[in-house]
Parts: sequence; structure tokens; C-alpha cells
Amino acid sequence: MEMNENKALEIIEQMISNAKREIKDNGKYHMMWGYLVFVSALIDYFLLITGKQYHAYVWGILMPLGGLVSILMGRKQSKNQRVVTYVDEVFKYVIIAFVVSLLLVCLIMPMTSKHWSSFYPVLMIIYAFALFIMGGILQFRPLRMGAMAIWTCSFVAFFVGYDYQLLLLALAVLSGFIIPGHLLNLRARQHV
Amino acid sequence: MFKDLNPILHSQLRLAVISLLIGVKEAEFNYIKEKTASTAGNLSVQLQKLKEAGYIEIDKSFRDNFPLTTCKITAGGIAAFETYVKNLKQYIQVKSK
Repeated sequence: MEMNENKALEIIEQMISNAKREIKDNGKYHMMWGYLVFVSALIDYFLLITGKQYHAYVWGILMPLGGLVSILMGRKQSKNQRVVTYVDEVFKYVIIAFVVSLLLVCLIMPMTSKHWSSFYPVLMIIYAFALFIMGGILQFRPLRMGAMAIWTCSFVAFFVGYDYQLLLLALAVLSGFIIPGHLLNLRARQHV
Repeated sequence: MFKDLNPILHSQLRLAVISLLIGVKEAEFNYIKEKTASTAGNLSVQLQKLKEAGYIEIDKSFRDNFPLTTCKITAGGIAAFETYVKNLKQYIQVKSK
């Protein structure tokens, strides 16, 4: 078929916009981790104020569970992924940096008991750091706003006790993970 | 009429493939087939031509025991596409004068 200059432009435009539409995130990971951390923080808080000795054990159960579910979700997703965009690539490196930083803090800080009071505030800073970048990549304002809310919670958390830090953590994940996660999911459904 | 335009890219399907691949890191054969609304046979032939020109890389592997073909644009492909777009722009400018 004869192709003129307008047709050539039309093809280029259409294909580039096709690839653009592949930039998507349905917020599943945000929601799952948001709810897990939210529930863990509240359970820890209630066990703590009712004087239970092993109040923090909930983290040791729910976080590895979340890790396992994330791995399974990731495997399923990569099986169904037919195209890899540059955004996917950048996202992958942000997630790796986020997980490595998080694991280092989670493994090292509890061992050095003198820094224990800074554990949750530092954790929140790492959350916010990753979420702010993700919000930029996905061009999604609620994620960036959520990151700012987490930074604020983190700032306050440096000056309060462990019990209030747990409540601040719950508030942080609600504003940085759960709400933006649902909004991302809504956006993904609308763009199907 | 289109003497300045690269004949490898100046074909509907090959141009569509390159335009699609320029925006992504890599894409599977079936994805390209769906987005370009082409047939498997025709797409295979055109992909081979783009590969021979050094514009794309084709990787053949397996996923769950099924053959998987993945395509990726090369640096040469990006340069050729940019030149093609530049020439196309010039052509349009000349035509509109």
C-alpha cells in the first residue's frame, strides 16, 4: 500500500501513544503493604498498651508473609508482562534500592539497641523517599502528597515514644500507601 | 517522491514496529502483532528485514515451554528512526511552502 507523509506521521504518533499507555500501576502492592503495616502497627500498639510482653512479634509474622505474597505477585506479573517500558526499568531499580535500604534498617537497627527509638522514624523516611520518586515517575500527585505526609509523621515520630510512633506509622501508611494505592487502582481501572 | 526517506523504514508495518519499539525497552512478538494489527506471517518477515538492517535485536527463548520472541530496538535503529523523522519533517515543510 502506498504510504504518504501524513500516513507515516499518523503511524508514528499512534504507535508512540500505544507504548505510552503501557505506563500503569494498579496500586496492588501499595494497598497490600499499606494494610499489612497498618494492621501490624495497630496490633502492636494495642498489645503494648495492654501490657503484653511479645507485642512486636506481629511484625515477624505479617512482614515475611507480605514478602512471600509480593514474590508470588511479582512472578505472576512478569509471566503476563508482554512489554517492558523504560518506566518499568526505572521502577525496578527504585524498588530494589527501597527493599535493600529497608532490609538494612530492619536488620541492623534492632541489633543496635541505642538507636531503637529512631527505628520507625527512619523507616518512614525510606518509605517517603521511595514513594515520592514513584509519584514522580507515575506522574501521580497523591503518591507525592502521601510521601510528604509520611515525612511529616516521621519528623514528629522522632520526638515521641514507641507507642505514639506506632500510631504515627499507621497514619503514615494510611496516607502514603492505602489511600494512594486505592486511587492508583481506580485510575488503572478507568484507563482499561 | 520519497527519495530521501529510508526505504527500510518507509513501509507501514516496519515503521509501526520501529515507532512502537522506540518507546519501550523490549516487547514480545504477540504484543507487537496486536498493537500493529498485523498478521504473524507478515510481521515475521518485516521483523527479519529490520533485524538484517541492524535496527532491531530479536531474542528467541522459552516461557513455560512455549516459544517466546522478544524484540528490542538497537542504537542503529534509534539513529535511523531519528533521521527518518527529520527527513519527513523537511519533506512536509517543503510541501507546505
